[in-house]
Amino acid sequence: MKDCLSNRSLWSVLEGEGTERERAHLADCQRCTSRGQRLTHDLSLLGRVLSDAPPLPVAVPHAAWTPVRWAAAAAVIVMGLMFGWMRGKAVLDPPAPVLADSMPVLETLAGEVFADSGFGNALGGSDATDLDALAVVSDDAVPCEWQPGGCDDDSTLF
Amino acid sequence: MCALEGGRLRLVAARNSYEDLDVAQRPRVERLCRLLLADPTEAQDVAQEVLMKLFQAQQTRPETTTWNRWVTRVTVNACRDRRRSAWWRRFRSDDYVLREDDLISSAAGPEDAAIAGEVRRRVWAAFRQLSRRQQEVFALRHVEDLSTADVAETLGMSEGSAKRHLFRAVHRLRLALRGAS
Repeated sequence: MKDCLSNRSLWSVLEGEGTERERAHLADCQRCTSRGQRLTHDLSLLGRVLSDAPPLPVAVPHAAWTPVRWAAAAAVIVMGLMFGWMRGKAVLDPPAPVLADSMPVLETLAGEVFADSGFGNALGGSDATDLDALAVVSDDAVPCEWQPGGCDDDSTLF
Repeated sequence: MCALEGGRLRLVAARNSYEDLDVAQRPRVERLCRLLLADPTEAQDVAQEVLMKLFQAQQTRPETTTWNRWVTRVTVNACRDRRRSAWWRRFRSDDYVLREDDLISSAAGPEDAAIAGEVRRRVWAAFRQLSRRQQEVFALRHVEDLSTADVAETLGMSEGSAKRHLFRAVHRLRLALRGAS
């Protein structure tokens, strides 16, 4: 009894395979022979059931599952839209640059650049927005700057 | 006139040829499609596609004689394609369940009547729950009556793999037949 074929071995023998020993056992063992006949019968029955026209499936809405399924899909879509919106907003609204109260590097640099040009005196001595003072200093530093031929060119006067 | 008559004759011959082919192959192709696709409407669509492909192939390669194997392979592939493309439709549509009064065969003999009802429902439900590979292997082996080697070749898998799928399918279907879940 304990040497009887396993289901797998029995099926293999009936499929035309299996070892010589297994086939011999199947021929000798009444229990395995009976099991083999049952398996053959079952396979034939299964084949008949499945080769016949299958039952018509009928669409039956599952009241409990359908809303859950759509709710899950809606939640995923909403989360995707929110994620996309938040990312887009982050790109459109970059953080505003922080303005420094004072820029000592630029002040030092400006002092060095304009120290010898006369601009320094004008800038240092009066309000930086005083354009009249700046124009006078500019004329002194670069005379006739706006005339293509220099101070001798009268063509651009009128 | 002769050319017109010749064209008409060719058309009639082609139509007759298609009708012959339809009569000869449609039951088998539809059966296989219905096994591999849960939706009968889709099964009919795919069967029609396969028959058209078969007709076109026979026009171009009439000398080929192994059409049965060709048809099986093309049908399995068409069903696979349809299942891949149908995921959205399945999601969108309502679930399908088996209705008890549809389970009795239209051509029920005494033995068929004996296995009608609950057993059929259990077997079909179990078959639908098998993996795609297990369904294909079982259908080709025990419904189409191909050998295990032919099944493996048709499905593009090794024979050992086909046997493993087949044994698992047989085991689960037998459990369903016996009433165990």
